[in-house]
Amino acid sequence: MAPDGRMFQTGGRKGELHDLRQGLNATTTKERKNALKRTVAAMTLGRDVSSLFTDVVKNTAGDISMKKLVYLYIINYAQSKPDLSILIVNTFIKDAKDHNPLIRALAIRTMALIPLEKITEYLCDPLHAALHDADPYVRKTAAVCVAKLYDTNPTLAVSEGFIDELRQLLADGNPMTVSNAVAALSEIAEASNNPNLLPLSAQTIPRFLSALSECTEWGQICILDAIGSYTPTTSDEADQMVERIVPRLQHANPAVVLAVVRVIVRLMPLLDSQEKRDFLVKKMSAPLISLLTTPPELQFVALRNFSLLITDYPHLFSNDVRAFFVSYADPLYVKTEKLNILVRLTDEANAEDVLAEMVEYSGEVDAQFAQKAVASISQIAVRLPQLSGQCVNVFSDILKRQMPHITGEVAIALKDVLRCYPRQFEEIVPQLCQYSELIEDPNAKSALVWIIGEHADRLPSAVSMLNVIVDGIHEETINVQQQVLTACLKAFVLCGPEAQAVTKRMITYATEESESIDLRDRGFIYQRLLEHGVETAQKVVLSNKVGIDHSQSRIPADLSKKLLDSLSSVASVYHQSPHLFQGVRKRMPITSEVDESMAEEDLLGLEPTVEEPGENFTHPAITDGSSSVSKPVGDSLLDDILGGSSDLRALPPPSQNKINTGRSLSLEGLLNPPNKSIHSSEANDMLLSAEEGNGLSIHGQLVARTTNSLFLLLKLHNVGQSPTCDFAIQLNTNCFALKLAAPMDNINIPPGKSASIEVPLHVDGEADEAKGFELQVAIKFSPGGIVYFAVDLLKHLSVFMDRKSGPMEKPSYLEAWRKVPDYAELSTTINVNSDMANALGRISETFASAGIFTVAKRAHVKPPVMYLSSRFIGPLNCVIMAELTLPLDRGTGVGKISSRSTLPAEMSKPALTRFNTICGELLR
Amino acid sequence: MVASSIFILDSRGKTIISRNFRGDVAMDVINIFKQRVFEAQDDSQITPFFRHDEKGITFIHIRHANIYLVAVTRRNSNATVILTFLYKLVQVFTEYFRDVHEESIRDNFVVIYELLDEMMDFGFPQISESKILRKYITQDYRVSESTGVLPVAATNAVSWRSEGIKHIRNEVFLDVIEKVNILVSGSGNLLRSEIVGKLVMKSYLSGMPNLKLGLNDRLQFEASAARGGPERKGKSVDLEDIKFHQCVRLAKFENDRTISFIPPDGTFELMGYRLNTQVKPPIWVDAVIEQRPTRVDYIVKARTQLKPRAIAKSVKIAIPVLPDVDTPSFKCTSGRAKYAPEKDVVVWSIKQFKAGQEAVMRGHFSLPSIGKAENRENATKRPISVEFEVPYFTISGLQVRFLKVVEKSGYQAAPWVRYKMVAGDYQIRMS
Repeated sequence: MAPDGRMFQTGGRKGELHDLRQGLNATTTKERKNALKRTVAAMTLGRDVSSLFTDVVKNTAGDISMKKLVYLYIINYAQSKPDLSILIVNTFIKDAKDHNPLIRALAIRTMALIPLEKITEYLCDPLHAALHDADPYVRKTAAVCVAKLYDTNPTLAVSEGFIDELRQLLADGNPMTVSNAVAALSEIAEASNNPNLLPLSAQTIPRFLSALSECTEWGQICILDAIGSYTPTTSDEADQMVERIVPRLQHANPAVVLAVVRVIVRLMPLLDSQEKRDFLVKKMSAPLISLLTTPPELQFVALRNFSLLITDYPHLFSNDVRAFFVSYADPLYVKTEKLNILVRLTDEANAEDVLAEMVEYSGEVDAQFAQKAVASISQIAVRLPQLSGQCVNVFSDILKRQMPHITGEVAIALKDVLRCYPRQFEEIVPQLCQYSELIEDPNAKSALVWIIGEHADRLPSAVSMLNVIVDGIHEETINVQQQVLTACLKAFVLCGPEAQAVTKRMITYATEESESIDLRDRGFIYQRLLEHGVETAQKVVLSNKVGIDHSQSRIPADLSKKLLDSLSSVASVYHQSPHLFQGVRKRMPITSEVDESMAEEDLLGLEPTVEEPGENFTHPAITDGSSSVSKPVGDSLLDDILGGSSDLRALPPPSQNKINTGRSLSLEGLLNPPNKSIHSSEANDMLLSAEEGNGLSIHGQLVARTTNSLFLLLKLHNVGQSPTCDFAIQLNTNCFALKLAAPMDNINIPPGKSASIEVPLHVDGEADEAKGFELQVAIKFSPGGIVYFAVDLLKHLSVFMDRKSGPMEKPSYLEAWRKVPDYAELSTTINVNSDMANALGRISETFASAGIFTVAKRAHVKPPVMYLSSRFIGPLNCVIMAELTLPLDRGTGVGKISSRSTLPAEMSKPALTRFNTICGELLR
Repeated sequence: MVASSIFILDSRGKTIISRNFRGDVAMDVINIFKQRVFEAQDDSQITPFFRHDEKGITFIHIRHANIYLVAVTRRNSNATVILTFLYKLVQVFTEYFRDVHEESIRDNFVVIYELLDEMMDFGFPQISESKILRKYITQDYRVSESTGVLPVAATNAVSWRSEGIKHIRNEVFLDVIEKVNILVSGSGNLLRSEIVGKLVMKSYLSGMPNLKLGLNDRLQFEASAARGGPERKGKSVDLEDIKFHQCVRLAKFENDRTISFIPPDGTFELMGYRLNTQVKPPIWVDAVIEQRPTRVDYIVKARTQLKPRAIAKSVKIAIPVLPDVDTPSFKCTSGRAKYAPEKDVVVWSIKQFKAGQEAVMRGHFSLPSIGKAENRENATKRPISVEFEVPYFTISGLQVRFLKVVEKSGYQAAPWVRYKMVAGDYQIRMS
């Protein structure tokens, strides 16, 4: 038999397609099979062989190996040949009834992968059968198929009851079927943002735990990941869970080990005995260290995760420092990560060993790694004052080696150390200067010049060195020039007349010769400063240095917590918010045909719409901070806008987050995107002018971040002359029962600067309806005293619509509707965008993400009508109900919304006016 | 949850195999990966992870021989699962066609597509036991056990062993292989010594045998004593961490340190273990370099620090030399030395190196008079590396005490145990 490899080489020849076509229609099976292979090979290389579709499809009747090739081909080209694909439906259906379980599974697996509606329609019957197939191989395949179907057509997946059938599979006797059902349900739960889909409770958890030991390694990971999101209610329960999963730490698969660690770390805070927690930390340490004997790519993931773990468990590896010593054979990315861990594990006990290693690394051939090693030493020095002396001695040793790329790096590293511990290690300065001619890199040179300037009075050669540098100042980069200028001034202030000449030369260069505006400005400033006398200059240039924040490179606490929750994930490797990695699910638009096929619903007593996918999969709006840079603009936009992000640092400036669909633009203004508001004050309302605010102007707005968690975002601008501090904030009682969740952070705003703060709010105060839709706020600060302002809650009404509540029950909806007198109803005509009007599903989707839920809809009456409900969060416990009449004939046109509320009469009208406007904007 | 698609690329970045599992990424995204990898200035710039922010996708890849295995995901997937899965692919391919490289991937592309289809569904890893896969993925691949019928074991709790296996002679072989990782500083201090061991089993047993393995593991002794078993005497070993094959009952091990399992048929790695103990480096090397303007002399001394009667075999000591040396000449008291200019090392090989023996190698090189002292300085910063193996010996002292085989047909099976120590990451820094 000729090796198949040759098939890859036939490319480019004229008539290749013709040859293949002949082969596919040949009389002998052998020839046909051969042609099939060549077709698939060509497809893999990216050549277009779609024109052979009909010829390929003819070969489905062959044996299983040919079938597999044909199916592989079909998956690739079905979408581009939708009409022809229908031809093979019959084959699929026939195969789904084959006596061989492999073929039955293959048929449904392939069918489910083809995102064509006409195929999925035919998938339902075989899939129902497959979920109850006698053979577990077919059942486990079918379980995954449900997730696929949900991905392409969620409506169908729900309406056909596949989700329920999937849940039944959780009790299947076959471990692989169970783990695939868990995987599929977790996936659907995530996509629909319905975490309750997978029943996790004190009753079901033990069942999952016992399935654990029977599953394949991959199945174990699925189950561990799934039960990781369950929070036990008692410490005993947590104890039992831990006990059941701890043995898995001994599994040979690193992914299983990390999945176990992830669950343990989540359960850890729930355990009541410190002894137990210590035991677990000890228990985890050895298996984690063993991950360092895996291939380098896995080591890399492990090391990135370790740095998350040691933030919370600093003693996890305290006995294993040597395991992180770098091997010469490690790739650079592993070496760098080991170095990072070493820096953080260093303490007085192991300092000698670690520093000796760093010295060794600083001599490595790989310049990049050697430089990182030097930088690590300074990080240790800055982090641990008691070791700083030792570190400086190490620098002195390294300098003696006179290696150019390292000497420069030592200068940069020393700058940090000297800045952190002023006047403590001056003896190293002359030594560094001795090797100054080795320093070429501009950054290193800047650092050197800074050091010379700072220590000019203790360094006899300072002035002469500056003279040499100023001689060649033309050749330096602008950053070095600026440093030289400042250093000269420092030297002049510190050494007096001796440095006068060089300072003058440098200032002359800066103000007269240089073409850089920055340098010239600085030159002029210094010139005038000196005109005020040396003392003034001294005050400025020798002012206290801002200390070095060694925690700077650390991950913020809230992000760190999120990352620990998603240990072993891509986000945990990048140390970036997991939300940035949650790509959008590819969603097929729910077309009008789907609407048509949906059952008619009558308000009076038909099946509830809760299960309807139109709402089921629109909940992502509720997700916590789902804003993502990478998301393409589309249906997910709502998620972006409403979700907001608690990790604003990870977001790009809003300009990059351009939103360009018309519908979204209107939404944007409406729903107060929090990420926008932080970056640009324009989006905020002016709440208090500087005159009224005693020198403090305040802009701000209310936003909902995660579900029902509210924030008052304030931007405080200090226009006064003196710094403001000692801030405190207080809210008056109000209709939505808003209350401070935490006192205001203590901030300090220098004159002319602004600060943005977030005040977390709760809605568990007392509702005070007398205040109307006004939130009165008082801010106290010194020196301004107390200032008052009000936030218009009506404007922020959308923030209070509960996005979690779901639609009202039909009977109570009807009852509530009838209770409101007809005259209290508010009707507004609205313009409806034609795209929207064509898809009721999309309307419910859009509305649900804004907290307005569809109670029922009548798609087939003319004009179509939808019944909506929206509940307010908090103890106010009020509901707005609305009847939305869409334009006749479903084209663009004028519709009508009539709404009623259970609010007190005087509040009802403004609220309904606002509500109707919101709906109108959503539909535009 | 996991991979959207998987690609196998050749050394020039051309796609050999591509499989789209979820349809949520376009298949041409692989070009982004190619660009990033092949435009990188040197290998050190390449990390296993690449992220393309605008498209919101992450590439995760490993390299094996001259191919790249790349997984693409657009979610916050489990990175460890993806990487272990890619390594699993290589393992399964290896078991199918021995050498995995560009040519063998091309030659076997049909079976690879089939395997991918079987091993991953919608991005979720599925069946990855090659012993089971081989029972039914046999396309164009002549495997004697080919049946084309799905084995029951595929989805079973015991997913690694088929029922009804028959062997004429029931035998089981156990290889205990210990890798010793050593790091010695330039001043001769032992910085790190670690033993990474594994037990590789070859089982040729009929039916569904239940095996129980006894080691001289200290905790196993203690657990057995606690259960009222006989007090054990003799040396025991403290294993720091143990990793088991899927087949071992982990809960039982956690309870009473008993290692019990139903083995797969054929060869598999039963367990791996690791211990960090201060051990005497089995082979000690000292190198002295005398560098003069036009020549450089190496005097390298090696000696064994083994138990009496142990013999180190196939010893290879690689000593780094300056990159611009020429006209080498060597004198060795035992073994042979050879200059390997492509790696800038001298490899000194000794076939048999007995316990307590010492050997010296003297090497002389000429140096061109022009040469950068700095380059020469750097060259000596590389460590000496040592390879060797010592049969019938474990440095940790681990011993197999028993291996009980229980099968309902009641046959007897004698276990055969072999021990071996090999050098792992064994480095001695030059002073």
